[in-house]
Amino acid sequence: MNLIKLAFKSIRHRSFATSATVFSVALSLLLLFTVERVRRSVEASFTQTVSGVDLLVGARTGSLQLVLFSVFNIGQITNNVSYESYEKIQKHPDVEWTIPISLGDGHKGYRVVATDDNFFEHYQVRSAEHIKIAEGEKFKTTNDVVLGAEVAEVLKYKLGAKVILAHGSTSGDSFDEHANHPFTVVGIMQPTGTAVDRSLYITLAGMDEMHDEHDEHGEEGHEHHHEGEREEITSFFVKLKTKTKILSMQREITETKEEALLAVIPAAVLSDLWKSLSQIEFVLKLISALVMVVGLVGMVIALMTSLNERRREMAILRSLGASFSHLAQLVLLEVCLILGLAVIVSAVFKVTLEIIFTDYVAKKFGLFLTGSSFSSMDVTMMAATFIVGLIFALGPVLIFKNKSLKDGLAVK
Amino acid sequence: MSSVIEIKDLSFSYNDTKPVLQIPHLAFTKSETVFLFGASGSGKTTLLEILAGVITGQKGEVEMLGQKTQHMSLTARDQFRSKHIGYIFQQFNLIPYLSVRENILLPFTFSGKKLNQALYDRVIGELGLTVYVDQLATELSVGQQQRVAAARALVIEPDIILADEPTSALDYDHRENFLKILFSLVKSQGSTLIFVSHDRSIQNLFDRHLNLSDINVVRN
Repeated sequence: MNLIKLAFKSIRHRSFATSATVFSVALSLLLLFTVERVRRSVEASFTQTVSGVDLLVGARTGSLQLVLFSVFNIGQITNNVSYESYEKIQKHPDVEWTIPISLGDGHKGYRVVATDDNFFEHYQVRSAEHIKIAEGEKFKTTNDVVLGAEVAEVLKYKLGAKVILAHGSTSGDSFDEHANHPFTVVGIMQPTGTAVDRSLYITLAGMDEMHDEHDEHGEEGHEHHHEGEREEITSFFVKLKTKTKILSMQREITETKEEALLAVIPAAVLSDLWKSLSQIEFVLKLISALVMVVGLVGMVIALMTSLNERRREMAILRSLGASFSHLAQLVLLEVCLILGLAVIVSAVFKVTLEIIFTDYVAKKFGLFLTGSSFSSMDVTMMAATFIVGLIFALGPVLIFKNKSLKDGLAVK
Repeated sequence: MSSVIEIKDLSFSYNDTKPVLQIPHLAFTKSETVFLFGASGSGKTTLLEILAGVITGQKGEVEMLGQKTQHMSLTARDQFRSKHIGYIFQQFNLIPYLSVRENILLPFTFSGKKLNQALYDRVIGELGLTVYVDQLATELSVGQQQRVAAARALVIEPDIILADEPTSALDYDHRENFLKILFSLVKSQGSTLIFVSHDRSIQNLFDRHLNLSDINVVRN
């Protein structure tokens, strides 16, 4: 019989203590996996909220400000882009397509985005997914509104519902509503896990009309619109025919004489912003690393206790000719088996939980578990658990060395 | 007849305080069977542990089979023990999660010696263990466990058998039977047997009787 078989029989003999230890290490590892998975998904949903576009163009302001307002509806932009400039760039020979967006109105805390058909045709989230309509169809007339998944879910709107939009406000209920221009829900989008889920989409013409009517019936005239011709939009996305033109196009737009414009590469800005948030990421990782250490310390304590209980057993093995190195090998083999089992158990848990909860997490938290199940980080963590666990186990083994030799063979 | 074991001026103490064992001279010859007794605390187990090489004395010489074990490295003493010494304890001396066969063959895991299959068959046959070999050690009665321990000490064909009160857990009938088999195997293997016991009624089976209280000068 070899030592591996002996180690295996030994841990099987103490199956309860063994499974408790395996479980505690596996759960710690599972927590590490979870943090890593959530981090990956949050990063993906953050930096890939908009993808497949080359440039975002708006009035001159901070680049972060432009991206945050256009993509996440955070903050405010004071200046708009004239429709004339938009049309000029739209017709530029290097431009493949553009998506105009006009912001400023809201509905019960959700923002309203006025855009055109290109949004449904070209807007992409999370690397290459187009916007999909789950129910109904995309907007056709100026009275149509298409809802993001979260908007429909939270406000419990069905197809055909009438929606009144609030002017100039996206947060909370506004007193200043476009009550005389109700919209009809014609479509509800599939969840994307991005800001798209939290928006209502109407046509640019719909927004024009709403504001015109507002002015006619209305109170003070407002700065961004006048009856008849459309004058300006908030910003627009640009896709170029060739990627190589991005930088020259960016320069060309920024240097436009007629209007002070800014063109940014949204993916780059978002990625920079994510990096500046890496502190939070670090804290998350630190906490899970500490949990791992606690799990391994638990294993060490279990090991110490079991070695103490097994002094008689070890004394017998020594009397039969086992050297200290045999005993150390035996104990470390047991630790290897325990850690190996823990790694396997945690991986099985991880895959199982992902299968069970992918849909739930996407629906409930808008978190899409994208990419492969195991990242290189996960594999590193499994290896690290194994190696650190073995190093931790050396402590009890060395303490035990002195004891095992002093104890001799007497029953203590 | 030459000595298998020879002790000269051996002194042993725990924690460098007053010695618990001091033996000016003691020798055992080949194939000798020795009955070792003495009051509790006279150092019987300590002496067996020194002979087994589990602990070493602070002073003096222990020569076993021509080798000075006091000066060997730890690993060398472990090796020496696994090859030449069969050790039988009082009780609780089997690994609970191994079968009878695995327990008996356990020394070979550490010694690298080859098993003598014919001897194994004979030993378990004579000790009446053949039908139990696949059972777990803990499923046996105390007497049966004692026989397993004896079988384990005998199958390695030891030059020296150290037995620490091996019959303490046996009733009269089993004890007689156990001793008969032990002696028959010891004789046929030519091993030296050092048998520690409080039970003076069996001492006449042995070639020599030693009262450790007389040999250990610490006590006098």
